Amino acid sequence: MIRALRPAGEAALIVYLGDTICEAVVEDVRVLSSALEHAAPAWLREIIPSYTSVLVTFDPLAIEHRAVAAFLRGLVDRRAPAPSDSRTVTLPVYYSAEVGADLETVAAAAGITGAEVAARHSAILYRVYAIGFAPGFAYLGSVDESLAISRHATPRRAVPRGSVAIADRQTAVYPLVSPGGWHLIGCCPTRLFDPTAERLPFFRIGDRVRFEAIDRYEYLRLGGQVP
Amino acid sequence: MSLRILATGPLALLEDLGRSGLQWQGLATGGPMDRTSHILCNRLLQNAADAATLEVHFGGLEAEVTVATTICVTGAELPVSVNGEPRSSWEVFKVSPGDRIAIAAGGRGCRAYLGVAGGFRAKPQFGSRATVPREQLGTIVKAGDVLPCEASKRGVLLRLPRRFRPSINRKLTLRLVPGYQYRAFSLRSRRSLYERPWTVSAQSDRMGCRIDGSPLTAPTGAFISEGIASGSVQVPPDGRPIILLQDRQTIGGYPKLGAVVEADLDRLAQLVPGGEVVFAPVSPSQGRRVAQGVDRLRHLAPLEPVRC
Repeated sequence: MIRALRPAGEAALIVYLGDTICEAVVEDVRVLSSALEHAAPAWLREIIPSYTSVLVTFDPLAIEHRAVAAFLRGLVDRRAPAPSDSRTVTLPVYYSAEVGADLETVAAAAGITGAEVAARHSAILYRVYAIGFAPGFAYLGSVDESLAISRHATPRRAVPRGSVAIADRQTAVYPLVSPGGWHLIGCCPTRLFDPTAERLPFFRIGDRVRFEAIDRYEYLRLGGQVP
Repeated sequence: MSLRILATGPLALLEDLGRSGLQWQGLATGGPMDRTSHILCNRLLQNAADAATLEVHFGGLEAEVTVATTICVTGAELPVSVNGEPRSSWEVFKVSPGDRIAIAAGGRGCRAYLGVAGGFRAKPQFGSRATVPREQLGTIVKAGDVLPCEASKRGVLLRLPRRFRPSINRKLTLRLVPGYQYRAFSLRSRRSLYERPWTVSAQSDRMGCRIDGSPLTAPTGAFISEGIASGSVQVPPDGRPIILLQDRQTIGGYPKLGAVVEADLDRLAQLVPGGEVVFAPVSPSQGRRVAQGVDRLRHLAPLEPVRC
């Protein structure tokens, strides 16, 4: 199961559990991260799971690389218990060119209508493959092949908060205003990251995510904003 | 009971030791670019190591104190004064209400740490007062801001003996623990990484230090995004390495050569644009010994009373 284990500095190791992005590998990533979190050894600092790997940072004064590696191999070999804490999250989305500047572009590229883009995008139960780029930004897979579209050559300087976007076969919701090159197809009124409220985590790796199409009225009622 | 900010230079922000345990949620750690100077500043003031200090980039700071307390400046060797009279860095001094403190531009190094007895008070967000502008967390300090702090009458004023003060140079060797995709780089690229000197680019910031030199050949092919450790050296397609620092993104997909040891990142934080770096490979266990050494300096370097 462990493909490779490499140093990532004097206080970090990275474990590779596969080399392709797929549900089976992300499940292994979830299980190892969760087992390590559960075991909570005193030397542990951070666990960063992502697609096919788990980065583990530790206190270099308390333990050596070799011992960390042995500990991680032990967790994998023993199939140490990992609480099954994955959930299914449903997020409302207002699919519209009004709040999704690239909806028509994505529709044209696929040769379908904007409404059909919404239908295909919301028909899939996605999985969280990684969290990063920005706080609470979850990389979700996999988008219907017909909707796959590469990133803009020039990223936007400011993608509005809540934007639902596609890049290749991944989709995501922008938790806060940030630069971004993904194609925008709608907007989610749910607040995923609030610097003042400190509600975390919204997503965990391995969670399942469903998008539910809502109309303009519902979007505004849930606090969504239009330009 | 505060420090009233009259002027700042290019950038001044509140930092403590940073956010921990939240990188899996995509939150950067933040924290002081020169951790050793931050920690020693707090030790000199008899504060906890994670008390908030003000990280002042390239000087230009002027402030009025409205409280009787003690202050200390560490890090870059910038001219420090109170009411126009020079004060030494790495030494605690008393201030009274109405005093004007200044950290001027010039001198050597990039980032000075201004600490106050008890630390600056600010509401922690996600367990820390560290400033990460991109995440809208923490405090970027501007002229007109009032930074609350408490009155203090510390009896003994401390200083760090000269021999323990980190030296600030125009040239630096960065010890790199090879790792990540190191072996995916050609032998030639690996050799040129160590053989050539690099210069710090002016486009560096708290997310990453860009270095210029003859570009390396980055391995081709798609790399899957993965966790980025502090000090990671990533090589984008243009072949110019970036050393990832405190405000780095938590995951990324550029190939990486390994990571620079934390102790050398402190010194890198003080290297001005145009400064020269060379890389030297070290094993993980050598890296560990460096970490032990810097830990001793931070927490055990003897402090002495200031002679008046």
